[in-house]
Amino acid sequence: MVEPISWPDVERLIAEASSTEQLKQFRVAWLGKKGWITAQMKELGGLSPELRRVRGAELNTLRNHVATALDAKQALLEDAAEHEKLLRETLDLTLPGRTPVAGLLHPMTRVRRRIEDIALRLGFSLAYGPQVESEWYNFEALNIPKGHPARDMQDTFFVDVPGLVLRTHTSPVQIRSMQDRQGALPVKVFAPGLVYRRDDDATHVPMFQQVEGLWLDRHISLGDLLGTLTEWVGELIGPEVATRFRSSYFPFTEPSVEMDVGCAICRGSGCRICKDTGWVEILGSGMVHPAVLKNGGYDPDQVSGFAFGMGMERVAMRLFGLDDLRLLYQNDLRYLERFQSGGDAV
Amino acid sequence: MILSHRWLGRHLSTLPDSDTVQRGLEQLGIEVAQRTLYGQNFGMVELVEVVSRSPHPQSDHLALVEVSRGSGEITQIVTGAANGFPKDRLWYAPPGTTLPDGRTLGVRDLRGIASPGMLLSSDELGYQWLGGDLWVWDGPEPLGTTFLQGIGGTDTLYDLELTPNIAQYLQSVRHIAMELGAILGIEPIDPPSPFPYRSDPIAEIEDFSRCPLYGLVAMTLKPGQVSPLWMQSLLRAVGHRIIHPAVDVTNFVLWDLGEPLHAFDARRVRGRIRVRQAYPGETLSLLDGQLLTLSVDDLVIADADKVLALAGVMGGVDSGIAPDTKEVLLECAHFSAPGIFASSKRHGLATDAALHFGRGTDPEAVYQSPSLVIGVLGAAGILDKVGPSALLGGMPEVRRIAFEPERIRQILGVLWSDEKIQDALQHLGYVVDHQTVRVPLYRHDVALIQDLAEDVLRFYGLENVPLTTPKGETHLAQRDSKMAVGEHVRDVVAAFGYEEVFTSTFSRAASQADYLTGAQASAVGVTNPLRDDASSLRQTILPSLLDVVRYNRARHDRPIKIFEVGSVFEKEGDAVQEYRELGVVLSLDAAVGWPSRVDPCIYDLTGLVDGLSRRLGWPLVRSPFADMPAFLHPGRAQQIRADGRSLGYVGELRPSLASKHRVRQLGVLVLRVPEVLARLASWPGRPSRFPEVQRDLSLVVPENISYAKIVDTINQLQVSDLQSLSALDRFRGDFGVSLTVRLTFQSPDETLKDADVDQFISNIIKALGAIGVEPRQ
Ligand SMILES: [Zn+2]
Repeated sequence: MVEPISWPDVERLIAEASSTEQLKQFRVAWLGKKGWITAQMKELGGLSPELRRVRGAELNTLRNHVATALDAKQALLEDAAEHEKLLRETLDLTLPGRTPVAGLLHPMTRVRRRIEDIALRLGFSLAYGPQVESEWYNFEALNIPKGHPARDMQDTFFVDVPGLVLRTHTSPVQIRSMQDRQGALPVKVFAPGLVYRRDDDATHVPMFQQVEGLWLDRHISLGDLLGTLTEWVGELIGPEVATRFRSSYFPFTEPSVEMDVGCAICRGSGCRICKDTGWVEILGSGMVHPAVLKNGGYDPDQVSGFAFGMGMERVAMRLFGLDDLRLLYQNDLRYLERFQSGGDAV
Repeated sequence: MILSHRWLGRHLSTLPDSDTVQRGLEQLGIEVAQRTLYGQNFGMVELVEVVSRSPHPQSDHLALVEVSRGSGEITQIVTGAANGFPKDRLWYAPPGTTLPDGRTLGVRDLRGIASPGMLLSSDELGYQWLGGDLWVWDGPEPLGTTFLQGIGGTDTLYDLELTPNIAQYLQSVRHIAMELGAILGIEPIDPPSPFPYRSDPIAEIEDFSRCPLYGLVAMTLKPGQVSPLWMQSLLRAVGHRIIHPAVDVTNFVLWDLGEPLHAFDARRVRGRIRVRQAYPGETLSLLDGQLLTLSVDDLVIADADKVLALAGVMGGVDSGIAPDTKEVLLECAHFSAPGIFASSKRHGLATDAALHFGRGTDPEAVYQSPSLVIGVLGAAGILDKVGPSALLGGMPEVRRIAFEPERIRQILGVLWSDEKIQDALQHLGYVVDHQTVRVPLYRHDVALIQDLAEDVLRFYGLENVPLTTPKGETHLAQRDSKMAVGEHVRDVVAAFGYEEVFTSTFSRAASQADYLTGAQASAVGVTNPLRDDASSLRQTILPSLLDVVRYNRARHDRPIKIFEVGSVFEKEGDAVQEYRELGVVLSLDAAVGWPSRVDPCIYDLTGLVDGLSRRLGWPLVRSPFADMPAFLHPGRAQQIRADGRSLGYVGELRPSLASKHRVRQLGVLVLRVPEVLARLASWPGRPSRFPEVQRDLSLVVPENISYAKIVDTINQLQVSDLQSLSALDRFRGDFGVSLTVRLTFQSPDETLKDADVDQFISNIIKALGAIGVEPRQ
């Protein structure tokens, strides 16, 4: 026999229910075919039309409320049950993740590409010459005849093919590029590559990377060189970097200029890296020597231009804050893996 | 070159402070590597007066000397010197003084008596003085005066790095002072007046091309003299020892005017001095003891019967200045630089003289030097008289360059007036008259209008040039495709999980030979290698990568997964060819660590070849070797080919070789990066909108049937709706090899019916049956 129910009782009973099993019993007792509300509905037929309408509406409302309350409580209990279950599946996410297996480009490749990208943006096309170069391209064409003191300064590796050497700088690419252009203007090339010198100590490695820029046209001046280099170094190292120029000497440029940037370690106050000057040399440059223009097939009375060159390792040392360039070529993988991010640079 | 600040003062009417000098030097393009002070250690050495002298109670050779010091204090010092008597004024170095030889003095116990510091001889101070053991000072200075005050205070020294062009004329305090004076606006002091050479028959020149101008002056010196203190201090400051007034004064002129003089002991010279070529096989004993064998390319200074000196480089021991030399023949020469440079290189003698003459000297100095020497020695009371003299040859011709101020403006990119440009040149010693510029005779570095532009620039300073950029249009440029390929390979292999390394192109030829495949050209040898293991250029990249494996495995136990795109070289006749190779190396160690990963195996590298082929659009094919190289595992290696050419290989290194590099199994891949291979673009078409059907097929495969054969057999059926075929599972059971493949069918036009797919499968099973492959029950 089914007990009569009232809404406050229903609310209390549902709130107190602690299992879906209980809810199922309530549903049968109240809403089932033999449930109390169903039974009350069946008795409506015996009432006057007026009463039937009022009582019917009451029962309908009650039935909807009860059903909604039961559904809500049902969802609540299921959710709690699932939560319990999921908590038992807890994993220790402080354990190392499975890092994607991605390779890493060598820091020098990344630095070279940064340099090349700037060159391309400034309209220099890239040029490459052979690493085993003729003495003519490496020396004579660049105004370094036999017996010239500068030929002593660059200790050269010779190979067992007469007349060939391992190039001591990327400057021979200047001559090759001029010859390729066959007198056309402008000549605007950028030549990165490996070069070799017989030097092996704390600050030198026998194989290293240089980059050479060349810009020939009519009426190019030293002021153009200084302006271009200032823009170039700003792009490479950052526009806030302090720069200065110093007179210098190279056989293949006249006048010749070296460029310094403010020391990144001491910010100008002087330290071991900058030999207490606050400045670090970044590149050498100058106006292309008339003899070099002639050797490239250009008339020095009609055409002028500038060339500049720098060691890429020096740029890498600057961008990554290194103090020993030899480590770059030791290929210690633990060391190379430390070059994960070059910040905004590479 | 070491430049003394005080020495500059001999040539400038006012001497600026050292910061100003350094800035001026830098503007002139002279790098100051370092700045130091000379004389600081003399600040503790003080003038004292002997009060008493008594014998040492324990020694006949020592004496106890009491001295009165500037402070009034009396100090007792033990000395072994024979002089130092009451009223003598001596230089005393108290404990804590560091002497020029590096010794730092303390309190010593000499035969039972404590002796604080030392009384000094001139030698112990690095100087030369007359008199006995201890330096008895005869100046008027009060007691307590330091030796540093005695020599006029400290001197700033600039360590200059001279570039080759500047070394051609600026190894001279006078010339540096003149340039500094020009840019700082300081009047120079007049140079020594030209010496009035006579025409005595004491010398002759046989080779005017090698020696265009030669002066010789005979002098007699008073015996037993020493150089004046001021000159000793200058020479000591720049690092010269004090030897003999005749030698000291030549060292002084060497740096003062940049002119290397040579002093012969006249007693050792027979007849006239002759400037001539050496005879073949002629020898010369040098001051430093070695015996030089000369060739006809050497210029020598000789007398009637022997060689006295290698001209402009070094004197012989026989005719050099001896302590008792009085009669001196002073040579003031102007040699042609290339000849001296060559002789100095040939004999490996980089003397101060050769470093000056070999770069170029000032012919004016031939006239000025004797006057300077006579002035210095005369004022010091050393010179007795000047004897015969001779001057042979003449001044070189003056070089002229057209005065084109507009060219100079164009080169520099400035708007400076003609007058401003002319002014700069004249301050630096050029003479501008009308349309030409006369170049000073000592400026061996100047030949072109560009050189003049450079000097104008040095005069006004780089910071006064406005920064501009060239007027022409700028267009974005691109990498050329040939080089872009190498970059693309790097990117793809790095994306596939390999780390890039950067190895040396030098190698040991012998170790290369073991890793070559097929017929190879010969290696390029390096004739002057730094080390034996760098005596050739590599022909293949693999050994470099194996070195990286060994280096890393020797230091830490870690998997190796590396690659490099680098140059390799071959000799082809008289030419050298340079190629680029991709090398990849993968250690096949079991994967360790948590979370777990799949163990690497050789299929990672064969798959890398296929992945590269797809991503780069190269038609690379893997095929068996006709003739397997010995360094590879004979059962686990393939050639890589494209367009019918062999481009490289992929496989496992022979385990015995791998173990030499501290790894048990090593996968290797070498691919010559092709420059001309056409790269195919992908052609994806449209995806079908009908459902695909997958069927898995488990097969029993005979040992002699390869996977490639199964794929071929199925492909030959040309089932157009077969979209893909992949291996799902492979294992070896007691029945043989089991292989499960997954076949995916899809039609572009319709939904495939089961009956159609069943028909495809039964055709495939039938074809496989023909090669002995049966479905597994
Ligand atoms: Zn610093």
